[in-house]
Amino acid sequence: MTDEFFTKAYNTYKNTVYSVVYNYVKNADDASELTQEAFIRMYTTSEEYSSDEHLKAWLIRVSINLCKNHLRSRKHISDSPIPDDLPAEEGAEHDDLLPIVMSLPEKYRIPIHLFYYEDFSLKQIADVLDIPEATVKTRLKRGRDKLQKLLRREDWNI
Amino acid sequence: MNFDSEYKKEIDKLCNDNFKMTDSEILKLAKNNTMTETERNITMKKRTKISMITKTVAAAAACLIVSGTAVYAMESGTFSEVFRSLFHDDISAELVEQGHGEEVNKTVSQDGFEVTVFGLTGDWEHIFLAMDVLFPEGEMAERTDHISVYTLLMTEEEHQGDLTDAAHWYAEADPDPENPRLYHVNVPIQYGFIEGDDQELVFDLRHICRYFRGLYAEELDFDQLIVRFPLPEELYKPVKYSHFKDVFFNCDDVDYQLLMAAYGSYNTEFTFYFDIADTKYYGMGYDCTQFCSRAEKDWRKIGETAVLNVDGTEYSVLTGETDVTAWGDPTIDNEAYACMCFPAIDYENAEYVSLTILDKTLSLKPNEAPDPDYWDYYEDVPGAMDPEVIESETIGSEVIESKEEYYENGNSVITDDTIITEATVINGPRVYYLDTDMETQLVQDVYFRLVMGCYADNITEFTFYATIEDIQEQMKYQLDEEHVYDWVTRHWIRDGRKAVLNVDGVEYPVKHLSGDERHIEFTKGTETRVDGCAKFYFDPIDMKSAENITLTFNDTTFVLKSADFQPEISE
Repeated sequence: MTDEFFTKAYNTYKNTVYSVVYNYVKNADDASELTQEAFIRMYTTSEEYSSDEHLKAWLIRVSINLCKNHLRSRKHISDSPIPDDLPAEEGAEHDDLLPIVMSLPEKYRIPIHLFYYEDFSLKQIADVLDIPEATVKTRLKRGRDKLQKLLRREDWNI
Repeated sequence: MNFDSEYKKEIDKLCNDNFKMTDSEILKLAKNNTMTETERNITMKKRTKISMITKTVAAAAACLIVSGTAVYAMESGTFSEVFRSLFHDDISAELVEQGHGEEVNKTVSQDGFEVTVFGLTGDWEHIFLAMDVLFPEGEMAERTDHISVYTLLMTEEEHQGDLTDAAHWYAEADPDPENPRLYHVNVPIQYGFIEGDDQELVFDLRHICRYFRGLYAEELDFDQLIVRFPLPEELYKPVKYSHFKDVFFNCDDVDYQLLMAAYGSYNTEFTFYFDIADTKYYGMGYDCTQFCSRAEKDWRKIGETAVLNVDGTEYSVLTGETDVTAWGDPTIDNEAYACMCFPAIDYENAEYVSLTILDKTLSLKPNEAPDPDYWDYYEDVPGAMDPEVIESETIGSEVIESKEEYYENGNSVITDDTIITEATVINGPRVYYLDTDMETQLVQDVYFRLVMGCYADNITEFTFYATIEDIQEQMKYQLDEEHVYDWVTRHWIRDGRKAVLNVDGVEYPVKHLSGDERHIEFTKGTETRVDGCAKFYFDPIDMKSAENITLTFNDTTFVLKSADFQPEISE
């Protein structure tokens, strides 16, 4: 892999990887460490990428695997409802979306993130998470329902 | 407000604020790491090789020992005598003598410890695995007088997976009176975990905790005390179950509802449900431990008054730690359960069985208000228990369609070739309504999705599918599928009774419920399979003329017809 290809991929996808990892581990330091690890894996792997989408999907899959291993090794089995290092709430009518999304169970949180941040289709989400498309659809619906209940403002267009 | 764009903004801010490593920094790190990785691989290969050789030798040694026979307890007689003589467990011994049991008789060793698995027996509620542990000679054995063990029992496939969250079967043991190095252990195992069809099971003794003079000494870890053995079908003695509805008693403003009786070989167990809301337990700081402790204390007091009467012979509640329990999790919902156990009885041959709690006597046989007992009926129908020949079946007032006819108000077994039915054949135009998105969360992570409405001349029927995939994630090895079916069905039957069909302001109560367990398939592990199926029935309504139809169930209102919503109809 050329240095140029690597740095270009890094600059393009660092937020993609960091945000997916953060969604899993809900901790800024761990997320930084695992994001580095994901890109190091990319640098050292012999994987050949057929397209930008392929590279992006590969990075997300590797990141998710790293997160799962990390959580398993640290025995972070149960999610804390809201991560510690997120900004505090402000006005009564203000919605900080991140803490609210992060308070969702993982199975809803990750599809929601991939759908809204990465603009992934149901099929793309199903592929990277290795679950059926119908399951993604169900989880997105339930995730949205839960979000609606958690959001203070009623005019959110989800 | 657009959620999409706001969420992107917040995520981008999070990334920019927290992850500031530049491309040159990560490139340098990646290059350094590549070198380190290469060096580490060389070292690791050596270590791995040594480790593999060690494990192979150890495994080979273990395999050699497996072929040996169990010499300790088995010297005293047959497999059934293991239970009788070592554990004073006459019930297990009798079950073995009746043909319910699997004799294993294999011994494995590691680090001088020898473990002999004699075999296992039980009924659908309780299974016991008999084993011996022999300590190696030396100071450790001399400074140990009591042990407890943590074991696994699962299929080969499960054993090869992640064992981090696997349920361990715990048991305590005391030393043999003659050989202080030898411990006899009767490990209780929950039914369902080892239910299988000729599959090979893996028994794995993972940890031994040893104690000396009443004090904890240490925990010993093992990874080679593994015994594999096949498990044939029909190993365990069946348990007779009775399900109840509308059987209640009240104590201190708590309504306890009798849900189920299990008449097993080891005991007779009654399971009750109670709602925490509007009771003294409500608002106890939402502390699960505190709630369980208090509820169980109260339940034990109630249990002291309970008497099981079988043809004039009275039995009191058993007093073991697990014989009277209450549990629930107020942090999740207001549902709680309690059970009390009595000695085993001969329910089948008894003429009269009753349970008296406080001053209320609940008649169990003859049963005042039993739910239709699915298996009782079909056991008497030749061929009906073979799922391959059954096309469809009905119970009670359930309506079923087959061969362009409809049956209700009677038991039916409909096979490919024949229809055995006591039901009334009904006809008439039927209207179907389909929707796939409306669902309600009945119990934690079990969603019921409304998939069909059927408006007939004689009845109105709604069909729901329950998705079990989410609960599957939670339970892993913690519960078996039978318990999940039972759990979901109980909730469906209990909460479903409160459903109301509203047609232009006229409310209809539920007529009959069905929890069709045959359609619930559940697999432990990671892959989801088929959903469950459950139904409601109401009196017939004029769906075509109605303007507004809603079905309210479990705090969810399904709009079935309104000015804004006209259902798809097929006739």
